[in-house]
Amino acid sequence: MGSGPYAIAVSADGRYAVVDLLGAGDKGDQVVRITLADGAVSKPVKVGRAPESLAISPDSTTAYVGSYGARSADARVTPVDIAAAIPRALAPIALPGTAPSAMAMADGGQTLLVTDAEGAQLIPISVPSGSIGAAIKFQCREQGDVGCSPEALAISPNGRSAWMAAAGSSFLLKVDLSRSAVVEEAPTGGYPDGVGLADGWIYTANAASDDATVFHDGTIVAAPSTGEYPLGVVVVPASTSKL
Amino acid sequence: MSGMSMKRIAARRPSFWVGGLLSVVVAFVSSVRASGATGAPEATAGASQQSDPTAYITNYQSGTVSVLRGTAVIRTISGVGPGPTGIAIAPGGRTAYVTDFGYRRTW
Repeated sequence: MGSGPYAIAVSADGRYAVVDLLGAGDKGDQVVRITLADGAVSKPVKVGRAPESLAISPDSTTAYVGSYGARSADARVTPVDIAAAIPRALAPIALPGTAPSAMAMADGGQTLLVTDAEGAQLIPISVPSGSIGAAIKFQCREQGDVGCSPEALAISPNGRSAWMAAAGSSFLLKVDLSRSAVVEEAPTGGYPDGVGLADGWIYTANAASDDATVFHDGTIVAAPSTGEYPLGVVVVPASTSKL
Repeated sequence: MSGMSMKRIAARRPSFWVGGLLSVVVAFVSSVRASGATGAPEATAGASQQSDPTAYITNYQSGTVSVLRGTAVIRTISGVGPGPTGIAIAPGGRTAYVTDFGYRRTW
């Protein structure tokens, strides 16, 4: 059956895209680097099982690949050197018992933030040391709690806040990163599986309700229908949008 | 964006699919020109402003990308393969790259 391309990230310098290949079988669970100028695809780099999340360091040298593992005890983040002529995996950072569903860089590239869909928490990892900081726990004790199954993550342009889509609860949570606390929460459409932001606007892609929830300056302003099962979101600021 | 769970993928995974991608980069990643996206305009964006950002959303089941400006869906882009999942924008905001999870093979 093989594996399929799932998540994608583009490096800040615009040179590379990194794509994770998700699937069953011994040939699955890899990432490739694409050189955007010519479309050249690198030799696949083996990573942990079920690589669902990706982030690239702001200096465009390292991709971080979050994988669920064959068992949750094997969950990990694998740094991949993408600046090398042939990309290669570096020493993995073990995250046993977690489900690393989404990742983003913060603190100018010194911190990797990882959402754990299993434990309903946000885990900060110092890079490149790989030391794991104190997790921010979300409320998820029973059905209806606001923080269950975080599946998507976006960082505010000033780097002070993280917006996390709790798919299992259908809520969007704002985390103040300096206080390590949830400071706002708002309901979204069903199963928000993606989130993106720019210019004071935030969009969630709601996989179960086939729509987007649109926030402007902290208020829900629209819930337009999308196609079926929306998941990925990117938002281009008006200053760079030339549509 | 992140993933849905593996279970959700398994439940909604499209059948094996090869070829025919709109691709100028490589066989399994479509690029969409954000500066001149194809596809029929859906609305004359009465509520949206040039000062609003543009959001691109992959629709896994429909095989399309919805383009929103502000609160309005202004376009639906097809031709990105049957199972678009991930999406990323190149610096400058002119090209979006879309992964198609419907394209599965042994690498």
